[in-house]
Amino acid sequence: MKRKWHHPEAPSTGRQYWRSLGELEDSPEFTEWLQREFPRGAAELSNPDADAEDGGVSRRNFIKLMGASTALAGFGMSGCRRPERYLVPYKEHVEWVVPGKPLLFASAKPRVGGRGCDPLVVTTYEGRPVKVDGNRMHPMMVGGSDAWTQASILDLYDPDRSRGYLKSGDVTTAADFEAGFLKGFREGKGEKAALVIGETVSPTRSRLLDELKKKLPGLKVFRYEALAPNGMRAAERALYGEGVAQVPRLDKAQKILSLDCDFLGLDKIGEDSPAEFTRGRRVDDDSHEMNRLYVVEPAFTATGGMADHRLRLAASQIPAIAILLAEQVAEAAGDAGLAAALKPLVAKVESSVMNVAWIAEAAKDLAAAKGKAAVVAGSRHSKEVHLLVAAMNAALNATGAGDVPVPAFKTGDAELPGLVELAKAAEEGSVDTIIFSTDADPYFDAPSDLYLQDLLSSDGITVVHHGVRVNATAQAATWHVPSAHYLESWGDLTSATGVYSIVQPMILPLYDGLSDVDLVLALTNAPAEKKEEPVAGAEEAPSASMLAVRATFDQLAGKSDAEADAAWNATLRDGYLTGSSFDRAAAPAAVAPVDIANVELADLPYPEALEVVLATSSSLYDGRFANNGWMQEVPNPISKLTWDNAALMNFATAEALGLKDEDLIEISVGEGADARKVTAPVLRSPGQADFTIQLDLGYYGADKDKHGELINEVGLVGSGVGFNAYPLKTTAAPYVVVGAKVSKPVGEYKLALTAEHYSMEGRAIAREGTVDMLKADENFAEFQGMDAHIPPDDSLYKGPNYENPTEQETDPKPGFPMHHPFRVDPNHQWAMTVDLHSCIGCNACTIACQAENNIPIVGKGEVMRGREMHWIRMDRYFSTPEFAAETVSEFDKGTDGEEPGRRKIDDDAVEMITQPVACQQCEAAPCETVCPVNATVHTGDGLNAMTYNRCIGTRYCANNCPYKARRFNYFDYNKRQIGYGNLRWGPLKSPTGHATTSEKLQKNPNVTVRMRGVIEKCTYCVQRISSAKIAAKVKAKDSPDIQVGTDAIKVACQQACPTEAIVFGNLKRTDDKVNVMKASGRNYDLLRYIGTLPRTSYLARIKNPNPAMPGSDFVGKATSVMH
Amino acid sequence: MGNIFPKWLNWLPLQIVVGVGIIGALVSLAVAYTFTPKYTRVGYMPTQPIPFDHSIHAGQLGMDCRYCHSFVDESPHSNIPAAQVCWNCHGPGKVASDSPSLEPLRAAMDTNYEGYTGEPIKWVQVHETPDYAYFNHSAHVNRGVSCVECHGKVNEMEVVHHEKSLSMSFCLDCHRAPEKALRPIDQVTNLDFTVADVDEKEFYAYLEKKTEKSVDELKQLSHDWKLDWGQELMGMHLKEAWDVHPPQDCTTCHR
Repeated sequence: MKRKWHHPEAPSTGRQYWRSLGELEDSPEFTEWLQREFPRGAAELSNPDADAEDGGVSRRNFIKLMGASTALAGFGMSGCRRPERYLVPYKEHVEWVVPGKPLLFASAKPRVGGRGCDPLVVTTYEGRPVKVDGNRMHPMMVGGSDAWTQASILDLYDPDRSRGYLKSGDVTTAADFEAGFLKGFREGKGEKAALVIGETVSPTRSRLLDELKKKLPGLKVFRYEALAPNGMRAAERALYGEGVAQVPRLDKAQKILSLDCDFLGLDKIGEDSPAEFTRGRRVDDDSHEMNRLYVVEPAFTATGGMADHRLRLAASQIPAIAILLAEQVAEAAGDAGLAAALKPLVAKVESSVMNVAWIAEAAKDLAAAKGKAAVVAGSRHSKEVHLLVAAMNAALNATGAGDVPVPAFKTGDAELPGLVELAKAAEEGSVDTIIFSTDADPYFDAPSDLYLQDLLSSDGITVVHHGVRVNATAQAATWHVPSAHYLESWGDLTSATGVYSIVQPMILPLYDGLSDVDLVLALTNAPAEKKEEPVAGAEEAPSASMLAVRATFDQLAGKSDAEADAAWNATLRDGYLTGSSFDRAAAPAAVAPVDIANVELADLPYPEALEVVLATSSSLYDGRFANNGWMQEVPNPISKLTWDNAALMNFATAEALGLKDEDLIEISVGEGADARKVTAPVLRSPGQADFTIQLDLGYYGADKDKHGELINEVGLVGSGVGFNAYPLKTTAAPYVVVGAKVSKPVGEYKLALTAEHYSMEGRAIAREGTVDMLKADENFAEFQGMDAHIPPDDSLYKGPNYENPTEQETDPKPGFPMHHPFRVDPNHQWAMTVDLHSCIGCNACTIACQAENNIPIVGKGEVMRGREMHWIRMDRYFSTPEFAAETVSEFDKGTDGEEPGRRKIDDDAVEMITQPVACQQCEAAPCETVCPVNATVHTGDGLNAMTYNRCIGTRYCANNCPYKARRFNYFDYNKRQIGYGNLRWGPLKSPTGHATTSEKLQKNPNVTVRMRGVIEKCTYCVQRISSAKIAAKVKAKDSPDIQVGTDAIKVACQQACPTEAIVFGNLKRTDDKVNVMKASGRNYDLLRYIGTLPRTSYLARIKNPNPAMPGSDFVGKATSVMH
Repeated sequence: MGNIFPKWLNWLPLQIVVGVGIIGALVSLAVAYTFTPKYTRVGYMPTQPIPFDHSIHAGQLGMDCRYCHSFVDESPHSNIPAAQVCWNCHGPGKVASDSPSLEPLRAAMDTNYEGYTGEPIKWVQVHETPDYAYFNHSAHVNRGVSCVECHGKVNEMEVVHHEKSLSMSFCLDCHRAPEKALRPIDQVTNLDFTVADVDEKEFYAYLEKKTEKSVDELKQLSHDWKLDWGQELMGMHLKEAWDVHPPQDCTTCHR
């Protein structure tokens, strides 16, 4: 019986949601995306990055190839005999190892993009690390991780990793390096020698460096990383003296203001900021109290997406707004001294261009929560901005002793000179030997006005590069020393607040790399004399780096000899030293007016003098993940761009400059010979400041030298990808470049965007509301959109009752001889909730899923065809108030007209919401009914199972899935190098790429590696469910107690989520957290009205607008009027 | 014009249909028989690098399976013992240490042996599940399914061979009717066990303790099932007492 729909007219006020500009404009291309699972003619799309002969396979060609392969199959029958397979057990059994069971170790890794370290738990199978996750036992951290942590495992197995020593680019040996460099270096007392280290602080390395400096008094140590927080550090030195770091604790703050600080995403200023922030944002208790976030930023970030009030502002204006804010805060908080000190600065600011009402109300709100309010600034901003922020925090009682939101800790980390000083020393000739032992790639990412390449390639300078990658520096250096991955080395790290963790090796170095500690040891001491061959069975002597770490540990732990071993073992087991922490620093000095007097103020950018923000790449960080396929392919959380970076600008800017998406433009700064130029494609991005271009750093680009060869080779994955933005970086303006010009389009460049793939149109998919709405009606979210008027479900077939199964359903008896009835598991019914209120869209879940479930990457060309394989699609919706003349921004007026009825974006009021969508595990799954071979069926515990070996690839299920959660293997992505030229050969060519390289070692042995022609999708990590159920049975033995324990299973995405937004559990265990989440009033199902009864449900996002703020009426209201 | 084709040709189409039908049926039968593990796998008896005799070790000497396959009750895999385990008994001066059959073991373990390589022994795999099927030993041996159900009487095999088909239907037969295989957990590695070894009275006493049902109630159950004392009745009782419901979902083995 067909259900009758009575679909009311939409009320015409409020916000609307959209994922891409195409959707907003209702472009024909977008409509086509919606109606097809894959774009029209996808098979005939020519490949943008392949040679002409490889470009595109027509259907006719394909049939030809297929015919040939069938013919060839006849010749391959030589292997009719059963191949003999061997089982090779250990010779002597290895302690702890149980073949087939994972063994977990605690370790730690240097943090990417912030202070401290990421404490880890590493999963290994028979000594082979396959997965890293956060350490849940750590006292300061919740135990989530970020996408970089999840993807770092792939770097270990990267086939393009540095595999050995190089001398001027030619292969050489460790012995040669010892004889040719180390020996002379040690004898030279370090005269004119420089060692450049990265941001990571390792207590053992620091200790060894001190010893080394005593031994080689001439040695100078520098610190360099491309995205170092130099301004922040300078401000901390001015406030606290040397060796002190401020580490915000955002759970202690009720009102937070961020000045271009993406603390939830790429600017990790705190210990575990995402978790701390969401802890302060929980809203499900009776009072519904939650924190409030103000964000000022030039372009959308994860943090800006979470903001209750967001102000878009060019990055060059951040100092100006900091001054205005500081003055307002000082006045509202009653700090007359500060207000007076700021007066001369305020006079310099042209406040008429600023949103003064926004500033005043935000300042008032912060001051009202004195002691519970904090201001943070982006680490890329100048010392002065950070000092202004410190002044605000002082006025708000946020710093100093006690339980304050912005405490400071004595790290004891010595201040080191940077690259500028190094370049100067090299120029003067006071340094002639430079050892780079940093994750950065100085030849590629150094400020362009240092001309480092020319400087260091001059005669008489020896450059040694120590790193995991054979990058630009490694290729140009005199010597390259392979580095060990953190999973191969001994070391130690401290978290931002000083919790000590040991880095322990999971595997012997695959390519004989040296760890950071090993390198310092090699610089200090001559290698030990080669002993005779080790005697079989005898215990090997511990490595020198382990002994060094142990010595540091013994000093730190301060235990007696008797207790030291136990403490060491406990630290290795738990992953941290109990009770270790930095001491708190004394209250900061008052900000001296003289320090902030010469704050740099810039004019608002305009078409002839644009601002370029050189941003941290959410995928590649500073470029170190350039050869990591997972990071290259994961869509940018905001722009949904894969395999590229682009010049992001808002609608109005693009229109004013006469540009459209995918136009290739030249961005130039400076005049004449000094002009620095970068080419990049345009991509319009809403919510960005006017005439501000955001360009991600880290992409090595496809620039070619005069012989037509790539300048920057980074490996099979990362070479030739994106556009190198580093040429715009200078020492004076490392991140924010003003006065840039753009050319007219010089060409076209296709981008691989996923924003329109698998779209779900304008139904209330991601829901939100405000605190007031929640207080008025706890269940407001349940009836947004179509769910407000669902007709009764009068279908005759209801399916099994999973909630209260009848006796027949829990203990079915076979009927006919061949009839085996379906049994509902009375002990286990799996379900998941995703709390959009906590989800920041960071992609950690997507990558964790990729690592756990052996999901391949497909390459740019395939992404453009809509064939990306990520099981978790991170949807990102923008919302704007519906078109209203008075809210249209300045630059949109008057330029309208070419498309009648076109809706406008009010950039000032754009909001963003993210939503991870994977298979919803529908109880009444539409995919199951259309599978002709029963490859996807339901299980008794409520999973929508996918049996790969049964799938014949009709793709009916993918077509019938209302959530677009199914992915199809068009090619043998796991067996072949990405790129159409390799993929399309199918079985005609012997496997190349991933299956033949070390990358296959990363694969999870508990999950099938899918072949081509097979559909795949999320299965709630069925391998983890199975092993938990089996563990319960093993424990139960001869008792009926076989139910899996409370919250005993953590699925991969849940485990990785840094904000605990994803909860998985058993509906049949009332104490499982998932039941608490499902009981929340904010809980709703996706597309409930189609009656699929999904097991995954979502919890609506709640915004906490300040009613006094301008534009607060529109905050959090987008889905409340959907119908 | 006369008839060009003889009259018997009228039957040709039917003959073709019947002929093709018969050939098709024969081919189907042949494929159904020969393309299954029952034909291709059962009886596989490869030569091992060391002619290890299970009938001596597990049979005559009565060694428990888990002496060597030590992780069978905690891991998905039943491990092949490390060479060190063999060496414990067959080391220098111990049992048959100079037997020429043990040459690969000495090559792996004996540093004084001239052929010493230090290489582990490469045993030939006999039983094999496909890569897409995930079998878990620990789930079975901890819940009363004996080794013998899938591997046959290894304690009587001089050379181990593939005894059961281990095809998907073999697995499903047991998952649908586990009572035919269940036995007391302490008898799992006793490959000669039969239901005759169980004392019926003691068994009911055990059940009484496990299920909080009286012996009378339990006997009533046996009566309801219409079963006499035997493997099936014992299995049914154990199944009830332990809540054994072997899953038949695809995800049980395929993931």
